[in-house]
Amino acid sequence: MQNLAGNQYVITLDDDPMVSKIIEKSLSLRSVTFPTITDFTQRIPNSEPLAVFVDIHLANDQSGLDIVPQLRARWPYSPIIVITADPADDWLVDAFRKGADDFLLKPIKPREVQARFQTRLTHLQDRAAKSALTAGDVSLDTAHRVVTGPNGRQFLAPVETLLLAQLIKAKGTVVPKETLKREAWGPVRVSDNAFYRKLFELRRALEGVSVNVKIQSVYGAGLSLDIQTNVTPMLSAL
Amino acid sequence: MNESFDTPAAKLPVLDLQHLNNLELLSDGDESFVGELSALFRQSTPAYLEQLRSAAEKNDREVVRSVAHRLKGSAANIGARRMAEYCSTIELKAKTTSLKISADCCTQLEQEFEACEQQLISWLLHARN
Repeated sequence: MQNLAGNQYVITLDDDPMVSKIIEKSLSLRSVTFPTITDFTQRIPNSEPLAVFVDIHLANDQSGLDIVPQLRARWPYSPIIVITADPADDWLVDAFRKGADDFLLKPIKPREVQARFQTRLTHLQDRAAKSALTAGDVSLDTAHRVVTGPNGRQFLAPVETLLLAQLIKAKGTVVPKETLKREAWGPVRVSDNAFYRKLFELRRALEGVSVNVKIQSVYGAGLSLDIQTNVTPMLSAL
Repeated sequence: MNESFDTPAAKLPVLDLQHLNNLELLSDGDESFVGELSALFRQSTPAYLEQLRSAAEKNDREVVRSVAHRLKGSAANIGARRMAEYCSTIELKAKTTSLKISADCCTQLEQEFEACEQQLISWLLHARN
């Protein structure tokens, strides 16, 4: 892993060094370049890039598309912009299906790089703001089903995401079991067994990211989030 | 078989001067950005041209297609429009037909690269004066 913490940068996966140079100059941002997927997977940067540019046709007949789903899962809010030299490239459709946000055609034109980068970055940042729910030191990204806390992050199943989202929105108040079932499963009738199995998985995921946010059962009433907030020294002295 | 490139491709300019001007706007101070890019292009291209000729002689269409594709991209990025078009023709031929890429085609592409080099040098001389 490369340590780029604190630095704003973009990633370019392309075996032609000219592409990375043009992107770097156009955006006035450092471009960390990887000529092959193998290079990238061996030295994945540990901080989030502002965007990732991926050539569809890489050296050694590798396809840049193979890495797109992995990039999307790792950095949900960094624009992924694929690059191709073929205006009628069939692979473009595949690129969008796999999670790419936009494309650039060769020759790489500076103003086009700037425009597509800015548009996609703004769009994804807006989406990030809309899809983030927080409770104490835990945040839930509903779009990508990721729960993050001080101890790490966990991917959730769709039903677990809906359950947690409902509990977060209730802001610590009790949500009846039947309401949670309806919100998570819709009109499908679901057994208590299945419900508690999902709840068990969700509790385990939450434990993995924070010790301050827990799901508690309120007998006969439903479930709520127990959110511990840090007590400041001044308040504790009172 | 057709031993040379199509006439419409041959009518394209060697260099896209507007593209070069746009790239040159990204220069820092005295260092020409086009100069930096053209150094990369001139450095990497001869090896690819050799690979292309060798693969064409062996009629290894997969390597011909892949090298022509790589060259097409870098030629386009430096604004070498005619060279990019020649590469595109070779790539398409290797991808869609069983025809062998002739030595004449390789020679014509090599000559086009030389023409690009000459025009880039002369463009850089003018741009900095």
